[in-house]
Amino acid sequence: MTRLWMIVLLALLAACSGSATEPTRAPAAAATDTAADDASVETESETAGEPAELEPAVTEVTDQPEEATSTAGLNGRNEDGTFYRGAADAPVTIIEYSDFL
Amino acid sequence: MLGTEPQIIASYVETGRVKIVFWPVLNHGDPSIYSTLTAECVGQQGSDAFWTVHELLFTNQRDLWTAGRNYYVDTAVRVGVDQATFEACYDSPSSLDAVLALDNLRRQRGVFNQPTFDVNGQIIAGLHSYEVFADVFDRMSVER
Repeated sequence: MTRLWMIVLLALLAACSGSATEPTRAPAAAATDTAADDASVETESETAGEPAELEPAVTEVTDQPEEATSTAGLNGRNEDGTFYRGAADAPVTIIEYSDFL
Repeated sequence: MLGTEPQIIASYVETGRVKIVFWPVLNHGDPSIYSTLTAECVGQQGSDAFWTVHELLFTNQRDLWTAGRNYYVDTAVRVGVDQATFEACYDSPSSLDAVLALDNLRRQRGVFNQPTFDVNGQIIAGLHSYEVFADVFDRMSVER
């Protein structure tokens, strides 16, 4: 009888130790992967969302181009009626003869 | 200069090495005249506003072929100048005369094609890369 109990006990122990290790790791790994995937998806969606939110801002910048205001304070008008941008005493002056078309 | 202008501004104008002067050329009839008149009348309300509308007009170049008075008034309002003052300027014969006078003067100087660039007296005709302009600017800076 004692021998029978010992065999049952050993069989139970063997069954528990064998199956408990593998499934525990597998879901854990899977959970980690899923979490990582979720994180990357969130990151991507956040990253993808940023330009969408910035889209109108870019349009506004196009309305009032940055280049035009980047020399603010350095812009002026010559006596002949032409406009200039840049330091009045710059060593080089470039006259751009151009049409808007 | 068009596409190369932002790079030239960042490297040479903002650093005090080069000054850009815009001289209007009216080679395409009314669209040239009224886009330039718009720049003139915006500019009368401030030089910063002139360069803002200068960029805007170049950016929307395609619209200018068919643009009318309302388009130019909207453009002026868009850059933040006073509308009534702009319209008074736009409708004034003296403003038109000022624009035409500059165009006549460039013809007298022998400039017939656009774009043409005069860099400290050296004429550069047509569009060129940033590197071409940078080379000329660097050389001119050393010479002075």
